Amino acid sequence: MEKMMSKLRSLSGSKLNTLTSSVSKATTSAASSNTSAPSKEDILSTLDGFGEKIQDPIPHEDNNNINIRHTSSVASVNSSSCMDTSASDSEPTITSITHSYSLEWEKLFMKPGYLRHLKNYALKGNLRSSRFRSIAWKLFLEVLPEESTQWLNRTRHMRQKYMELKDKLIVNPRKAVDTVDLSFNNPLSQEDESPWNRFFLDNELRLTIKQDVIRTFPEIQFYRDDGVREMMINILFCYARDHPELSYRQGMHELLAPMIFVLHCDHQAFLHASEMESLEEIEPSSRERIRCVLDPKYLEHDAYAMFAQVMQTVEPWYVSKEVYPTKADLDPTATQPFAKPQDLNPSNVIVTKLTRIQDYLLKKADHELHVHLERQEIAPQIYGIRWIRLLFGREFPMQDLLVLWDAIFADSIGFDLVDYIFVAMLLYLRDHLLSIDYPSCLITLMRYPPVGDIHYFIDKARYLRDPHQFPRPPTYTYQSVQTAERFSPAQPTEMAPLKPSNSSSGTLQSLTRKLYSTSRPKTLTAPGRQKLSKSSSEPMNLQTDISPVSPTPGAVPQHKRGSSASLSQVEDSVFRSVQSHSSLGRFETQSLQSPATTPDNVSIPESPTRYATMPNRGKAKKQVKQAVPPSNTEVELASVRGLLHEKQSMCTYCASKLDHHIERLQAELLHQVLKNEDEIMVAIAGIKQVRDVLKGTLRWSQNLGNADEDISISDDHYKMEVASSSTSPTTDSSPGALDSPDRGCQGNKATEKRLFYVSSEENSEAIDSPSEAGAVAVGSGPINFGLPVNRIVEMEDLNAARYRGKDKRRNSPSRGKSGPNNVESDFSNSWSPESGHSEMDQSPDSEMEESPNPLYRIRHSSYNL
Amino acid sequence: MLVLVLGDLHIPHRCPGVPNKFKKLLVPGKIQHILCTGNLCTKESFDYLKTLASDVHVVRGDFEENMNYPEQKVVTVGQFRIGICHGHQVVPWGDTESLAMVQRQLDVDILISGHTHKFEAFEHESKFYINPGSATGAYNALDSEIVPSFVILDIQQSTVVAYVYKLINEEVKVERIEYKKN
Repeated sequence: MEKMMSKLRSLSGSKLNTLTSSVSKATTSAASSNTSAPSKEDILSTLDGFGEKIQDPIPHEDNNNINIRHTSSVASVNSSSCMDTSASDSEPTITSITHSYSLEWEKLFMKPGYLRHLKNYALKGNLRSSRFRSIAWKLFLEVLPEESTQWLNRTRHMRQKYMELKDKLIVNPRKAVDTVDLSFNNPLSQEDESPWNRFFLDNELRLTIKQDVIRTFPEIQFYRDDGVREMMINILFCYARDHPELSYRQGMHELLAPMIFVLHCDHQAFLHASEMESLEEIEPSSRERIRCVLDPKYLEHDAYAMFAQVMQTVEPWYVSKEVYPTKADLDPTATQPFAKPQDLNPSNVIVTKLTRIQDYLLKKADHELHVHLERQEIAPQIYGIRWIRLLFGREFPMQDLLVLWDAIFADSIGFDLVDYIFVAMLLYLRDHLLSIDYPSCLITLMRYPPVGDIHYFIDKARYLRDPHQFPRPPTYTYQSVQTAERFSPAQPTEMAPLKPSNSSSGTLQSLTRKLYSTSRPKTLTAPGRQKLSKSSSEPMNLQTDISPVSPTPGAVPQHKRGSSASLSQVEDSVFRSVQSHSSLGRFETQSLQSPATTPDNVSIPESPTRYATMPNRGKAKKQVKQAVPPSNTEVELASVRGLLHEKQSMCTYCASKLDHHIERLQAELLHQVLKNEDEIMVAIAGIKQVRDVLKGTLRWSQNLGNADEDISISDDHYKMEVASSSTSPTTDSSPGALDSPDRGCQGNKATEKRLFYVSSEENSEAIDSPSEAGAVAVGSGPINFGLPVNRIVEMEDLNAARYRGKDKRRNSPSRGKSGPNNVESDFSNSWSPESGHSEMDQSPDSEMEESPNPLYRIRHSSYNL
Repeated sequence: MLVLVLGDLHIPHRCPGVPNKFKKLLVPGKIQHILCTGNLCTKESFDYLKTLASDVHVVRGDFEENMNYPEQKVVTVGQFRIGICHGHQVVPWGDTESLAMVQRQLDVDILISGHTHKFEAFEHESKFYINPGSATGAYNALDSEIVPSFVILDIQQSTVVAYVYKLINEEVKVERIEYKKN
């Protein structure tokens, strides 16, 4: 959590003030339960039911270590201006970590043939929180040999070399007095051999480098440190002097910067570990190795070695004469008719590379997009040179970038993955690009929209390169993200005042009230439905710029689009997205497969629902349109809506996930005779209730949160209901039919429900007001289901049971009910289970820890047991 | 830090201009300060110096067009106080004792004077005296065979290294003299 916070702060800076404060509240509230943080991975893996199950116990501690590691590094670097909470929060966890530094070491580097594992590990993005990332990178980049016994020698040798290089290159003409002839060695000499001349040339070079270095990642405090800057200048200077043919090119500093950061973090983690004396756990020879390799004194030397290694691959991409040939270069007689300008200038490696990416790789992956870009005459050089030269350094926030680099480095020393990541990035924007004109395309490509799940690009890139060997990652194109990007440049003035206004919720609350009061009369369930309808599958990831709790710029325009987009347009885009990544044929096969698929099949649950939901979506949009009050405070409204959408999307996602799994549970249960069936049913009913609350079909109220007894009553009721209508386990989960919200609940059930389906004004306001939206939407924080321990254990069994068998009937009910309910679930479809999973891994801890999600609690408490 | 010391250009009265070989050496970007002992004569010469460095200090010579330059000037560079004076006021011209009086008067570590059109650099009573000569090789009142010369001072903490550039037989010769402040 500290990690997230520091990241949040460093990345999004002050604009997230309100957010961070809310998060920090969550932090402190959850600080005591630090042990719970680690298990969220497991929870999610169980929740999702696919992906790898994490078997070893290390992740549990790992996550704690992340916190510590980041706090320690961050603290010492001063990279985060607000250390208050993070520093204090880390205290209680320190003791639990002391061992794991050694454990992580053993896990990563002590196994035979560890390098292969390490590479896989990196490709899966698991190095995100490792404290040995720099060593891993060194291994990937072949700075260190795989044979760890040679590390010491190699490291020393490498450092020695850098020192010699530096001594040689950083000349002081005043020192070389007697060695050189005075006719050369004088300040005004312009001879090449003259140390003075060299000195002046070097100074010029240094100035050029310095100009860039002081602009490196200006938003990150770490790079504002003079020492770091000096070090970067030295490294870049030495490289430039050592490689005179290339010298220094703009962009190199951005390649170097993350490496220094990673080294620094690892050094800090190492120092911390040695302070905690956790190094003692490591066997002496390894300890010696770590001590040497992670010696903070040699940060500069190591960074140079890594940088030089990276540059060896990247170097050709920096060599360029002229990106665009001048008119004089073009001999009209020599050129082919209809040849593109970039084809006429083959001298550039980078241009050749980019042309190959666009004309070959992209064409193969997505012909339509290729044609579109061609037609728009958007040459890949325009945006792509930066992407490639910086290894996407400007396109993603630092933490994501590091993960991406993990993969790029691990994949091969030739960085082959870069080309495919490039294509994956284009494909991610595909729908958006296809729908906009030339300038917007350029803007979007030049300012790559924030991305929730960096792992998608890695997976997609690997898939693109080798479709047979790697699974196709699920479709991941975010309309909301795209539209956000589309609109944000257009209305920057609107954005600015929005953020503060969100925190001062007074007016906004009234606004929301207004919004809802206008919309409510139309249908009783309209507000809830609207929330669903407009929900997006925006990534719930605090590490990216889009965070569910934050009033990101993305949120606002997303609504605007919703309100203004015509039905046809919406449907159009839906269809397009469907066609783009998965042909119709694929869908068919998938839905055919789905009954028989194992729980770890990635994309079943989403595909059928996508189709089912399309008509409703348009309808919902219409409702939204009507609900817009003709007020001139549109801006504020928009911001409120933006907030709402985020909450809604999150809720919808949670709900649909819950939905899915509950069904599987139920279906499975029906086939089994269990001893404590009643209890299980009761538990399921409880979960369903949560789901309904999340979905919005069950109105959430304060009373609900306070009264545990009520829930047990309802549990009873649900139990009866479930038992009676066991053939259709999802009936009560689908009261969402537009006309009859209570369809599934007859008779006494309806009366019971009144307890929970509260529909008073204030309750809805409580949900909708932006100030509380965070807590509420995240999972109605105050609701405490307080599942008793025995129930928890049973739920564990249930979870396990889910893996045991396959339910044949799961599919039909899910399809049946998904129609009216998941109005917007085509968004959540694009949430790949996997991507969802990985996102949730890093998703705000506050969310997880506050979440009343029973499954979560279950896992959580099982850890405590 | 590099300081260019020169003077007695006498352009255009006695010389058409700074020798080309000198001009080639004198490029912008290397020199931080210029101390000129005067007799630039025209504004054009001053402008030329301005192209080499932005910080130009000039004292008044006896053939000056611009009479606004001061007679003497003290500039502090690093740890050194440097006094500039053209030298026609100091009689006998170029006399060590007379210059020492000016040095005491100005209380400087280095005294720069000109007018004799002959390069000289010496230490006297642990003070440093520099006469850069004439950068154009202009004749003086007593002699017409003048070697064009100028001086570059490389000033670091407590050390000054003077590089003397002389144009002898169309060849630039460089000498090096070191002075340490104590």
